[in-house]
Amino acid sequence: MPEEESLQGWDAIIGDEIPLAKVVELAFTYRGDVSVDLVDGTTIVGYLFNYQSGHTAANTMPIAEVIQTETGERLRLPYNQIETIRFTGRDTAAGQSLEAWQRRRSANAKATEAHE
Amino acid sequence: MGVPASQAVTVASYVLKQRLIRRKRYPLVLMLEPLLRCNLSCAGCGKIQYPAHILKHNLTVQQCLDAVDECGAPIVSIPGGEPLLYPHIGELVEQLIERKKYIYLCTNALVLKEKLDEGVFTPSKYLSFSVHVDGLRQEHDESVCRDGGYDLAIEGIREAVSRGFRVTTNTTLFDNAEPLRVREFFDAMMDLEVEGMMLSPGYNYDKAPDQEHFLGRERTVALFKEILSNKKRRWKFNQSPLFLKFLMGAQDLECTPWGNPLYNMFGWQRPCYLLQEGYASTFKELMEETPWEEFGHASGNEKCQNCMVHSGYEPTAVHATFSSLKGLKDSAVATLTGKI
Repeated sequence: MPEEESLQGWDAIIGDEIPLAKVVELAFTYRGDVSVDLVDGTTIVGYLFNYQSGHTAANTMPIAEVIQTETGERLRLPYNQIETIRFTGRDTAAGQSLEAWQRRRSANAKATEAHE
Repeated sequence: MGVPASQAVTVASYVLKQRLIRRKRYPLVLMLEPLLRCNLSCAGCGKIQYPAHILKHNLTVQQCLDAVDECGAPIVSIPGGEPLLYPHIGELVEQLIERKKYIYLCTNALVLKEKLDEGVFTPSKYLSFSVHVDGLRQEHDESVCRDGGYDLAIEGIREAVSRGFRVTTNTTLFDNAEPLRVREFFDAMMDLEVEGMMLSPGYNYDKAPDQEHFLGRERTVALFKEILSNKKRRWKFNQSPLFLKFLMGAQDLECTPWGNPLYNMFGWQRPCYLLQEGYASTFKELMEETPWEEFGHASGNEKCQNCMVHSGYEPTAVHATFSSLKGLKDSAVATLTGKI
């Protein structure tokens, strides 16, 4: 994934242009932790690993599911309790390109040659 | 072909039973990921890019066994992450063997020799190490982004074969594959006396570091035609002949996204091993509440258009083998003659 496409550092402002459902989808595909600000003023920090935007037999309202960073506890957060989501954790899918490895490999080979 | 008779009979009986009870959708292989961390960071893999607290997490053995029982598939594939890093891998394998499940333990084999020396595993007809090798030394090391990776994998294969374990190889090919080199690679693997080889074109994971070398359908067919035409008799594949024909463009198959369901720390992945569109909390929920008509090549879903990966099409090939006399005959002929 190109680094410039990373959402790392983005504080979503929920509104007509970017509805909450879209931000939850983006957080679901984001490979870093997020901070979920709730309407009661508290913040949950963790990895958003699942969401259900539609109605299913198991859920009657849209929810996002988060594994908390510190405790590992799983929380199910109804959309109507979420104020916004901030992409605060490092994007682990960014900056790991094949080209970066090839550059490191080439630099290592040169260093080894120089050492010999 | 390189699938042992007892395994073939188990799978055949299972498929025929599903047909007899008129079960429309059934799983063939459970993909069980007990952990997501790996000791490699391969260019074509989009499976391991997670925060540290997620990578540290292990499923318990009981969680794994509950998923196996819930799913009911006769084959359990254990990918990851690297399953040899799972602290309870010996116990898990033992429990699966007790349940008479055929296991493919998918490993990069970097620490296989070490685990064998520790006596973690005992040879069994139910256990096969499926070693990830993406080609000869240069191609494999490039693919796994680690110099020396090939040599360690080969050392692991040799050690496992010499100790009487079933060993297969698992190879993903990208658009930079050179057919002649791949054919040389097949020879090298058969020289190591592996039981069979598994092949698949790579899938373009959104999160894979290398996005440039994934194969489109036309290119996949052209590549596999070139590789597998004039197939040498000594090459054994641990796959359905119909799937290999499909890769060569000689067999039309549609995806069976529920055929290889995936369970990991997040739950049952929707809709398939490759696409990640959320998780169901139970296998029943996965099967009953996933809009299956929205996935597969025929659905028009753009994410499925270039996919020809074995996790989606091998179950279709197996189903087709036992769905008609022609399918059975084609597979039997390929098995007996070694021709695809």
